[in-house]
Amino acid sequence: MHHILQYMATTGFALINIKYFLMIVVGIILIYLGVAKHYEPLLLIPIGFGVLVGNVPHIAGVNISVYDDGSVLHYLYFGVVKGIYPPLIFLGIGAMTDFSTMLARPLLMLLGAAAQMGIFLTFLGALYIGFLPPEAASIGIIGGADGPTSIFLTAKLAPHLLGPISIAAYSYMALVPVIQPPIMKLLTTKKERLIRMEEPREVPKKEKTIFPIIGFLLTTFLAPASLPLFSMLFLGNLLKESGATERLAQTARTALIDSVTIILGFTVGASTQADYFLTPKSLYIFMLGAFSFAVATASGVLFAKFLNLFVKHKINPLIGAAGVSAVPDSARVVQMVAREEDKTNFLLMHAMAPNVSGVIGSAIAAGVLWHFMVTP
Amino acid sequence: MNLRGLDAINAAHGFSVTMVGILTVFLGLFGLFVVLSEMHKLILLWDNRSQFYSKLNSKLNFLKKKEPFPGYRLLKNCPPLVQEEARQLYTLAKFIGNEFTLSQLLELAIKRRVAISSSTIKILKDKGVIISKGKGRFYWVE
Repeated sequence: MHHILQYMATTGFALINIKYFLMIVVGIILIYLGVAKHYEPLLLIPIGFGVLVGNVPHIAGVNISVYDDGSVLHYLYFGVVKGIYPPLIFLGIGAMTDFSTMLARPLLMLLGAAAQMGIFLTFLGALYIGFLPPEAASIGIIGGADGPTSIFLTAKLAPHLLGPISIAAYSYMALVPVIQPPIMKLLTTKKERLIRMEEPREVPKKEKTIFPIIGFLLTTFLAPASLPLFSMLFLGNLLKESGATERLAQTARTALIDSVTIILGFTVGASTQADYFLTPKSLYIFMLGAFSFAVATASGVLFAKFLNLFVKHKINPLIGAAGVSAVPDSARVVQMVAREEDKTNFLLMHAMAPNVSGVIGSAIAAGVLWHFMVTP
Repeated sequence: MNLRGLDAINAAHGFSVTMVGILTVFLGLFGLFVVLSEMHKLILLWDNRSQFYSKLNSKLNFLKKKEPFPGYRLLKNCPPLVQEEARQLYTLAKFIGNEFTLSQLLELAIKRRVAISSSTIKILKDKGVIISKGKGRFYWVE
């Protein structure tokens, strides 16, 4: 009887408290959003399930959580902490991204740059609230709307905030269809939303093959700290566009990225143990993350309006919102908002240009922030 | 305790980091924009490089002052009479063909009533304007 009671006292039923219960509810909500609402299901389902795994109460010393040395989850989490998974995900992203729309009209890349304002303004906001500079930099990068980049930078600068920052980044990426449209409508007139953009030119294969080499050299020479991300992104794209390595490109954009996404999502979710996650800091991080997304969206839209003062072929300012690099969700949102005004206006292709350049922009921003935080 | 407010931003050089950060992102993507805007033109030029070279050559040929006859440059320092005789001999040599003998050349000169001095032919041989191919046959330098 004594043993039964002793064992019962170590079960989750006996150890659970309100914090664990709340986190389990959060996990279930994330899974629900992924399954029922189809908001980034590839990410939210592994993360949501990871949250459940990370919040099963257990006694200390059994070495089962991501934070316990020697546990299986700890080894899987190693790839997050050391920043191994994000570059691998970038390899897959590179192998599946078609940069043609960006190459067809490179001017739209500047919208991807403008949308990175959210990162830096949030960095200032986080400093103002009282976060340490490395923490503030990690929080700011949420505004890049780029999960792997957020995890990469946070793992380097503020690993203790990996849980809340990655959950905030992926949650807001999933909520792009909810967050962006009101801001886009607020900052544009009906006439602007009706602007039709000229058809992009056909981009020859040779141009698409040369781009990853030029893109890699130019971006890494400018922001060397972003090398791990850019090297993988552009290598993946070169594998895709060269036409000589289709087998490798196929693996990178399917089996590799899928495997890494599962492990990354799952372990990030599992790192959100209630004791680490439910703190006032997490609340601030979520608030700042929302602010960051809103500023990034607004900056992109406003910069598109600014560019329209100078360009001959007008840009529909809605596509500025796609400068946040939630690929391809924010481009889809642009299409959705544009079609509300005119069902025959197709902006998706045009929006992909700032969208993919946003990936490059946020990685440059991460490189700059990392540089400043590690150099005295 | 952590600093807060503007003090925290100033202590972390927040404003300068922000300025440099925004500028670097813009510079990076602007640089790519400039390069990519011109890249397709360079690729087009590379793809049509044979046309480009022929156009370039025709332009350069136009710029070059045309020689009155091949080998004229070798006779630049000779008296005008020699140059004139050489020009006439070239016309005769061309009439005979790519290769000729000196007797063929002289016979044709007599036939056409072109006055040619034997010293001019010697000069042409010495200066390398007409080159021996052996067995008494010559060709005109290009």
